[in-house]
Amino acid sequence: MSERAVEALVDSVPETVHTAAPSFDEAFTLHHRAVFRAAYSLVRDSGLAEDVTQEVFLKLYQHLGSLQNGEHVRPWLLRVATNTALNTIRSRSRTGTREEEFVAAATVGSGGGGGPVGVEADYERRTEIEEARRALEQVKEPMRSCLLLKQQGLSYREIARALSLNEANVGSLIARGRKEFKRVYGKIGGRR
Amino acid sequence: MKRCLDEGLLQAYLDGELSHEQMSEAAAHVAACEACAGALAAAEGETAFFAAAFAPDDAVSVPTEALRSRIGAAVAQLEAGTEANHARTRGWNFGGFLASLSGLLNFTPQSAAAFAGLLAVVALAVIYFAVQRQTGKPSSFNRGEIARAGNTPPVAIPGAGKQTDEVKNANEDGTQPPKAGNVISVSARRSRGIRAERKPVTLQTKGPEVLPGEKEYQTAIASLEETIKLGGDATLRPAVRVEYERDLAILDSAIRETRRVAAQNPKDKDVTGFLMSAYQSKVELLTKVADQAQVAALGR
Ligand SMILES: [Zn+2]
Repeated sequence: MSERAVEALVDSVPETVHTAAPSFDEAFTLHHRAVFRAAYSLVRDSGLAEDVTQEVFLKLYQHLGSLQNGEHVRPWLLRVATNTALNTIRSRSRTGTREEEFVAAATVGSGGGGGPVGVEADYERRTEIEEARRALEQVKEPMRSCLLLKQQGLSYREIARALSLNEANVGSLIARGRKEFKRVYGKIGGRR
Repeated sequence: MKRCLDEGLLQAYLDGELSHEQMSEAAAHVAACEACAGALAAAEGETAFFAAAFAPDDAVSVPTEALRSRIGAAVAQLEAGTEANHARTRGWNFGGFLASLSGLLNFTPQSAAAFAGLLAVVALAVIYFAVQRQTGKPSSFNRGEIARAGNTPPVAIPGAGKQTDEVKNANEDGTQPPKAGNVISVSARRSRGIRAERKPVTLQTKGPEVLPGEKEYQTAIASLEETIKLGGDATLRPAVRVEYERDLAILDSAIRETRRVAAQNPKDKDVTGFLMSAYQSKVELLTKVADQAQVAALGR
């Protein structure tokens, strides 16, 4: 490989080049999509995902000074996003309102003798998601965060940095978290 | 690799997180070892299972502009809270000279850029909100102004970080003419001229009575403007001044528009909240500049 080709490779890795701490505005522009999607994948509701995204960026605003390296911003944001989304789910399932609303809506929809198929399929999907979330809640930290950050596309190195872990342990934490998730989900699903 | 892969290695192999050399060793082992091949298949299945449950939904669209507005407004609200406390303890007289020195130290290019970029966002949010609230009534707000505000890039203040050194140097070699050419006040006069037909933002004079909380902001702004005037020519370099005046103009129109809507709906907490945010942003901007002005004035 020629020296130039090596240079081109290095240049194409954004983290190695862009390490200055971004401004708040830059951080928003670069990362709000990833944050919103990460939140959405857990809360499954656009309005709630917006709430989570706002909370995450407010936290960034308050901590921007302590994040000196631009490389750290994305892992940090995604970690805060998944934590905040999990807290949102937790407080929401405590009140239980949305789930009940949905059940009520689905019941009304299928009231007229074999209701619309779309609603039922949607309801089934919702139930699955609810169960998956309940299973996820029982996976212990830091396994759960490892799983979620991996799911959001972070590298082991980024995960290690975001969670203050040893990079060498990330693989087995993901593996164990995943197994635990499968086990708990099987139990929850089995109750149906 | 002769030994079997443990769960961590297996996972790292699955995720492509091993070094090139380790990858090929692991692949060779898995190809030859039934136990590891089985474990790998199981891990793949479980990974797909988890991913299906928590996959980000590509169909969902990201509401970028809504997020930008509401986060801008939320940040302004946050700032309004902290700065209001600050202001109360300082009694709005801007007397805490140590406080302003430490403010100057924070005037790094990053913080200035972050702050100025934020200003544009906040101003836009405020304008948008104010115009939205204008139900039925055609907005007198100048479209060109909105477009210009919308085009405002993250407003880095060029060379803002060098400001401190330049001020220091100017003071050290005594080249600073006393009270030399009041560019700031000249340009302030000029911009007052341009805005002649606009209603000035000082409100005690006319219209509906001052809204709750507004007076404090006006007092603060007046005191800050006084400080900036005292700083004179040395306060801002020309390039920085251009940015400053543009931001100030955006904020002034935001305040004007929001205030008009707020005066019509005095009970609407959202509108008054936005008005206070706009005032707050102006106070922030003036504070940054006033900090510079105090240092400049000190040198004389
Ligand atoms: Zn083996």
